[in-house]
Order: sequence, then structure tokens, then C-alpha cells
Amino acid sequence: MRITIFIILLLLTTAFIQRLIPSHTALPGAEVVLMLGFVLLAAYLLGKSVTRIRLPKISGYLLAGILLGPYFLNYLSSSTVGELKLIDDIALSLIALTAGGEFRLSNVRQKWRLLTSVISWQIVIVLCGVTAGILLLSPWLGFINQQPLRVVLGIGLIFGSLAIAKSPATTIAIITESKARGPLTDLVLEVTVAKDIIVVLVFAVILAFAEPLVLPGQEMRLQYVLSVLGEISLSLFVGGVAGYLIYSYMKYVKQQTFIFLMGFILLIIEVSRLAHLEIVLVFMMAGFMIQNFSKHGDELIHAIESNSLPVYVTFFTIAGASLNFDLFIKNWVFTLLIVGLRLGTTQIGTWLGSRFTTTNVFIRRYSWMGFIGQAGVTLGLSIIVGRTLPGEIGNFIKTIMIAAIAINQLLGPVLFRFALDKAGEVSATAAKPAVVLTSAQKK
Amino acid sequence: MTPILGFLLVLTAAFLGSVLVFPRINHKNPIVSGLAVSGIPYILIGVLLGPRVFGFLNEKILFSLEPLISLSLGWAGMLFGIHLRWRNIKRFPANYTLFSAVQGLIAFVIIGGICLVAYSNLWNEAPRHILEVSLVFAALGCNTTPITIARAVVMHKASGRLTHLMQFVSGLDGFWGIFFAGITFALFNPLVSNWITSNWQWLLLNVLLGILIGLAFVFLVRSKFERDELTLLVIGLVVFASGVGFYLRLSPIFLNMIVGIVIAQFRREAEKTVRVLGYAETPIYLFLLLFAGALWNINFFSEVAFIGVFIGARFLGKYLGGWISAKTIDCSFPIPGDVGSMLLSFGGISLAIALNYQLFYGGTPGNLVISAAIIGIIVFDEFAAWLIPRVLKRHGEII
Repeated sequence: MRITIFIILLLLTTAFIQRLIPSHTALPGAEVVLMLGFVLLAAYLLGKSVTRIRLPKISGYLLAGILLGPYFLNYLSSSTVGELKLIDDIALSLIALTAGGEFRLSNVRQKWRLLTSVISWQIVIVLCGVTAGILLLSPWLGFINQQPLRVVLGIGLIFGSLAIAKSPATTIAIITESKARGPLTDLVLEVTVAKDIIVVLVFAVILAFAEPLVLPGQEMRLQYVLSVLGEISLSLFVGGVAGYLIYSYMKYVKQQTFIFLMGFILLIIEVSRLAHLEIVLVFMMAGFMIQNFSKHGDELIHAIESNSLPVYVTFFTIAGASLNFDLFIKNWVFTLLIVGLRLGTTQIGTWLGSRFTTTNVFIRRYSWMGFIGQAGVTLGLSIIVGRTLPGEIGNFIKTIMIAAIAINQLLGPVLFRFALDKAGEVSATAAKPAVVLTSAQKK
Repeated sequence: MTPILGFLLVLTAAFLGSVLVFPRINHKNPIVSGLAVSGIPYILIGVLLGPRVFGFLNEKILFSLEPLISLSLGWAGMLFGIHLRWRNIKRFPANYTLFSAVQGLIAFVIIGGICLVAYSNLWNEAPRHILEVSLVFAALGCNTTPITIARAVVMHKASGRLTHLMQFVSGLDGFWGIFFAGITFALFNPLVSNWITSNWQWLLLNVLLGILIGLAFVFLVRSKFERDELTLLVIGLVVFASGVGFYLRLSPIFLNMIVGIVIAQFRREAEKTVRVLGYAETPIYLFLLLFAGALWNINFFSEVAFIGVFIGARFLGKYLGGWISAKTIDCSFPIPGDVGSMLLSFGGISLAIALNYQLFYGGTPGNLVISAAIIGIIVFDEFAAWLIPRVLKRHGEII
């Protein structure tokens, strides 16, 4: 009740202030500061409120962003959302550091067969399943049914490769929020981290093959694949160096680790922008190096987890406010088709991958739910499609994927949290071991 | 250089300072400790990084970092306000508070009056503008930073009723500076709104918003929150209140101080909040010093003359304020007439007020207040660090 009253007061006060003075007469940057404070308070409290209906907090942040964003209450205008985007990079960097830091080689060595099997089957089934689904249903799909078969195949392959992509942001956020621990948690995290590198490469290869199918007269551009490979390699190398520098700081200075991390992240973000590096890969590699080649891995994760809540709240709220519902409404049939195909093929691929490599029932039944969330990585790849395939087709693919990402971003956290609950890996609901009564107790 | 790298430079300098410079506050060598206390090294670093020397923090980057300045000001204001718990103040004799108020008011009037005359003779501006700038200088000059007295207590083992009084007055003095500055910003607010028909309404709105935000926050944190949740809520509170002040061109320091004062009256909520606020106290102060250095743009001839007048006016105002208060207010022990000389140290709040003005208005008056604040820190803090132990010794408070 207190939280509800406070949120109402906050909304009324902010609305009053915005009506008192129009934003264009305020000092530059004033509205951003005001709305950042508003987002931190309102979104966090809304996120806390939704836990009462057993939704994860990040669903609350996303919903807060949607409600407060330009399509509904418009507290967060499009320009304010744009100005807060810097926090995206900071949040992704922290998330990637944590993801890399949770990737323990000792765990991976024990279950490499399970990991490689799940990853391989997911990629194959999702790619082929989504492509086949689009091919089979193309006669009934408005924009595509007028296209020749090879174009439809190209479009299907591109959607398939985008469907494989998954964001580590949702995974890390749910695991951190629910303090989840266990085999299902480890599997989802490790597959997500490993796939993040593979997906970019797979996408580049598929796009290189699909482009000549979609654009008549266009030759296959292998240079693009090579340049992506180069970017991935350079990102991983820079990540390794960054990891060493962070480790050196933690070993020799040992003070104000989080402040140092924030500064270092900003520096690497700038360097990555200049050198066209993939920030997520850089910091995943950094986190991986620190966890697996030093004694400071847990310390790093602790430093991030205990201080990064404001960044995560802002990140997911801005993500919610950035969701484009206009696009969804205009293309809801195709969007739901893509979402449905992705859900089904992910479930099948994960089940096939785990069927013969683990006896854990929860992993077989529920782990697929951890692979549904999509965000920045997929968005970035969709934008590349829009640029690489100019005209109607590229725009169509980008539009549908942005709408599908919106749905997956809302579904992903809920499903993953459900899976963790079912597996008993959420800290408050972990299954207790069965009690065996001794004969004395039975009496 | 992008705004991000600019911010990074500031962050790095602030961080290095908190590790290298601040621990030397109690250094045996008075020059070293004096420099550490005054923050002069930071101002110099800001000057070096700023547009007038190396240009790493050029004007465009400083402009884009203004929201961060507003946030730092709000943080400083709330941190100050949250220590003003009425029950704690009541433990001191009532006349101590009266002493603080009277000397602050007298200093304000004297400094304001002298600056008014000097400014109107040096620059040909509209009377309203001259009055506004003079009031800002008066607010800037009338308060005292407590750190110099605190150092005398720690390093020289000063003790006694006079020391006690000075600790109280210097601790409370910032309130008057922020209060007068807040009134000035409200009464001279240039914004036009259909719902606000007079500038007194801006002042009333400022106070009411501070009270409302403070009470709402107290109401909220009575629920149970984990430590990291509370950290987020406090950060959100400061950012929001600073944003309100910045957006409405009401002093974020004053608004946040009111919020802090409201929270301070509720002991448990205040304890929860002050733990979070205190964590960033040093870096925030260092940010403000760096920004002040980077923003400093002194135009030699006309400005130096005025700043000289301001320095003189402050000496006179604080001395007379202390003298009159000593003669007219009974604190149950004889207070020496030169008590005002122990209230000269300058510092953080004055700098914050100067940055607030520069943020909102800029231009020549903005440069002038920043210059006055920086030169005030250099002159008064070093002088006060030298003078205070001597005065206390003369009056038997240091053996």
C-alpha cells in the first residue's frame, strides 16, 4: 500500500512539474535528470510490486517503461529515452562482465557434451524450423506470398538466424534477482554466453548466403563474414587485455572496485565505438578471464551485483519505453508467427540437445524457457539486416523482428523465472531434501 | 574528447584524489594538510583540464556534464540538511542558534551591501540584476565551513565553551548561506508559468516541494527494504529532487536541503539515508572542485577589483557579525569580540552556491561568482587554518 501511494504521489508531482513549465523552456539536460530520478523510483517500485503476482522484477521494470513511455502515459518522451541510452551500454557491460564471470571452465569441462549438444541442436532446429515454417506458410502471408521462392527462402534464413540470437541481459537479470543456483541455471547461463559469440558468426554467414537470394544480381559477400570474424577476434582480444587490467587493479590497488569498474567501462565503451568492437563480447571475455585465471572472480561478481541495481532498473525501463507497439499492431500476424515458431523450435531443439546428454528432468522439460528473451544483440543484428538489404524486404524483416523482440522481451523473463521456480533453483523456494526417519523417530 | 571521456577524466581525478590527497587532511605539515583541506589541488587540476589550459574539458563537454553538476549540488544539499535534526540542535543552548542566525544575517547584510555598491560602480547593469548578483555574493560569503575548527580540535586538542560554540556555529552556518541563496534563486526566477503569478510563489513552491518529497520518502522507507534497494531509493530521491530543482530553476541545493531536513526529523529513516549519502560525500565534493576549476574564467582587471572588494567585505562582515553577536547575545560565558575571525573558513557550501549560479545563469556574473568562490577558498581557508589555533590559544582553549 505504501508503495502504491508513493508511486501515485510521484506520478502526480512529476506531472504537475511538467505542466508547470514546458520542457523546452527548462535548462538543457534538466528534464533528463528529472526523469532519471523519476525512473529510478517509479520503475523500481513498480518492479517490486509485480513480485506480488509472481512476476520477476524485470518484467515490472519493462512494464513500467511501457506505461511511462511515449505510447501510453508519455512521462518518458522519445527524446528523453534517447538521451538515457548511454546507460544501455553501461548496463550491457556490467551484465556481460557478470555473464563472463559466471562462466566457469571447471563446470563446463564436466558437461561439455551437454553444452555442445544443446547449442548445436538449438541452432540447427531453430534455423531450419523457422525457415521451413516461413516457407510452408508463405502462401498465406501478406507481404511474402508475392515473392519468388528463392526470395522467400532468403527471408526465412534471415529470420531463422535472428531467431537463434538471445540476449544475456535477461538471463543475468533474472538469475541475479532470484539468486538462482543449480544445474538449470548454469546450463542456461553457459549456453547463453557461448552462443553469444557463435550467433554473431552464424548470422554473418547466413546473411552472406541469403543476400544474393533476396537481392537479384547481388553476389555473395564473403568479405562481410571475414570482417565479422575479425571484429569478434579483436573484441575477444581486447576483452582479454581488459580482464588482465581489471585483475591487476583488484590485486594491487584493492580499493573502490565498483567506481574503478564504472570508469573503466566508460573507457572501453569509447574505445569499442572507435574500433567497432562488440561491447558484450569484450566484457564477457574480461569477466571470463578474471573468473577462470585469477582468484578474484567472485569478488568481481559481488562488486557488480551489490552496486548495479540502479543501472539495471534504468536499462530495462528504457528498454520497455523503447518498445515499438505501432509496429506490432501493424504486423501482428507475422510477428506472432515468428514468436510462435521461435518458441516451438527452441523447445524442440533444447529437448533434443538435452535428451541424451542429461538425466535431469527439469533441464529437459524447462530449460528451453531460459532461451526466449531477446534484446540488444538481436536488435543490433536486425538493424544490420535493414542496412544490408535496402528497400522493402530489409525494412520488413527489421520491422517484424523489432516487434517480435518486444514480445520476447516481455515473455522471456516470465518463462525463465517459471522454469527456475519449477526446478527449485530460486533461493527462497529451493526444494528441501527428503527427510528419512530413523526407527527411533518412527516410534 | 567526448563527454564520456570528459566525465571519465573527472571521475579518475576525483578517485585519485580521494585515495591520495584526502588521507593527508591530518598531515603534520600544516601546508600539506591545509592544501588537502582546502581542495586547492583539485581546483588546479580542474583549471589544467579545463578549456583555458589543456582543453580536455572544453566548453561543449562542460555543457553536457551540467546535469552531473546539478546532481552533485543536490547531493551536497541533502547531505547537509540530513544532519540538521531539531532534537540535536535543541540540546545546545537556544542562544547558540540565535548567535549563529544573527552573525549570519549581519554578515549577509554587510557583504551584500558592499557588493551592491561595488558591482553597480564597476558594471552598468539593470538594478534588478545588480541586486540579484549582490544577494548571491552575500549568500556565498555569509557561511562558514566547519572543517577548520574540527581540525583545530583534532590536531591541537582545542576544548572549552568557546570551541564548543564555534563548532556549533560553523556546523550550522551553511544553512544560512543555502537558505539565502535559495530565496534569491526563487525570487529572481526568470521562468514564466501560467500557474505562478509572483516570485514569492516560486519560493513557496520550492519549500512545499521539499517538504512533500521528504515526507513521501519517509513514508516509503518505513517499509522494509534490503540494503541495495535502499541505496537505489536514496540515489533516486537525490536525482529526482535535484532534477526538480534544476527543471524549475530553483536551487537544487536548497530544495534538497529541505528534503534532508524533513528526513532528519525521523531518526530511523535518517540513519538509513545518511549511510548511503555519506558514501559519496568525498567524491561529490571533489567533483564540485574540479568543475569549479574547469569553469573558472577570470577576466583580470575588472573582476580582480571586485573580488578584492568581496574578500574585504567578507572579512568585515564575518568580523562584525561575530562582534555584534558576542556583544548582544548571552551564551552564559564571555565571548571575545574577535570571535568572528574564527568563522572565516570558506569551502564547500559556498562553492556549491557559486556553481549553482553559474549553472543557471553563466556569463560574466557566473564567472565572477566562481572566481570569488575559488579565490575565497584559497585566501580564507589557508588564513583560517593559520589563525584559528592562535585565537583559540589566546583565549585559553588550546593549552
